[in-house]
Amino acid sequence: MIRKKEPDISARATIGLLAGCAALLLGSVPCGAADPPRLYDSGPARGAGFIRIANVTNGVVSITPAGRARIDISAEDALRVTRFEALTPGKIAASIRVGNQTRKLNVAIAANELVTVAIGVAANGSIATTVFRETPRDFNALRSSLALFGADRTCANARLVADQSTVVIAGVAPGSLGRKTVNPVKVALAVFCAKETRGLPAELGQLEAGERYSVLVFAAQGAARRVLALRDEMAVTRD
Amino acid sequence: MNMALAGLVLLVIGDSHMVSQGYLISSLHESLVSQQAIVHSYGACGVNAGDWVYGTSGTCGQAERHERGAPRIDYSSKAKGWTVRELIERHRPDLIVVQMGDTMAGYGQSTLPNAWIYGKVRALTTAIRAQNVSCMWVGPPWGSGGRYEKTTARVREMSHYLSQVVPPCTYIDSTAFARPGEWPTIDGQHLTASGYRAWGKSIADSIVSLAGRSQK
Repeated sequence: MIRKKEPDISARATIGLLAGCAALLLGSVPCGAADPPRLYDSGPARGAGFIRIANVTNGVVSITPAGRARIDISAEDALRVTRFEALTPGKIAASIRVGNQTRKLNVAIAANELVTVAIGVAANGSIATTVFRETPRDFNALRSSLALFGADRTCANARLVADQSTVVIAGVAPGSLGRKTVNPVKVALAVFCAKETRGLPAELGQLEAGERYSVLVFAAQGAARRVLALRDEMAVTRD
Repeated sequence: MNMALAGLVLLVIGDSHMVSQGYLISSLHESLVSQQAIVHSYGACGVNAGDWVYGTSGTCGQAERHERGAPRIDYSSKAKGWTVRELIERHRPDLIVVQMGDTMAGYGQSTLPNAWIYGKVRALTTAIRAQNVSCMWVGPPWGSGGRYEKTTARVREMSHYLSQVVPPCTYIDSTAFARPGEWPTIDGQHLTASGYRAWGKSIADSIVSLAGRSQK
């Protein structure tokens, strides 16, 4: 039996180009010897940045991105921090509501950048936002990555300490973050501010290889300073 | 013949390099079958690693091949795709071979989309690990120019990056098999028939060697 030979991937793209050229010629548009088009993209067509929101208030934070539906973020610890959402690099705009207060959020996100926006309430009752930016290059499936986010304005020189004595991350100023790659071990972590000798525990337990973790130190309005430790997650998308 | 693969069930999944007659669905599949492995190969053109978790939709074709049968290639846009989970449940493989890299490397872009890649790769390696199956990951071969804007520098960067992020899969570095330009391409990315023969055989030899080592 003689089997008809199927055109391969590249031949099919060429056929597509020729069909396109024929259509263009009918419209008197010149069609040169350009390569046929790609059959598919290599990675996200215009790059990808990522954003997540951290609710460091006592109540619900509502975000309404321009042109999209409102998202309510609970103040329950398991839900305070959203997953990282992938988006095309550029500027994004949203409105924020906390209680009766509202304000605009405008953030520019670059390719490969991971942005965490902490939303809190300032002493005067207005909404306060802190934008943390990182462009990590430490992705590694055999190690773990730990980050300390300084979201409490009163916590100077924050430090993440392992097993009461080993400083993992030091010198994190309010509004900034530090990150470090570590071995995937079970470790007791605590956060210390300034010259304080008593730390606040950050419960992560056994670190897993390839996972990334965030430790946030923050103080909700009228409440004591506290620490939230979580595993970073990326939203499931098909893009 | 080395008996390292004899009787093992191998599931091979990949991208456009697996979708046309004479590509890896020919050369790699046949090389593994010649090692007495029971081989099931699937390719979906244009998909990234995450698509194997959420469901492939080969917009530019897909192919499958089983044991000593002929490849079944479907270039229609209506072809039903697959998930790695359903393929694992269907074939119960001893080893999964993932051939993936070119569809994620950001050819033509100024930087490697490393965070995006990490999310996609982790999604797939986590899904495979959840099914408790061993895996090997085959990175991209050299290529340059053409409509895909592949470059030697980006292939080198991508290959190094994949070696860091694919564990627990064992990484097979395709750039070690040939010098840049040694295997000609037809479009800067897809190899000629002789290139696919050489690439498929080199991958199979690596799998045999790694499998033999893990059995000792």
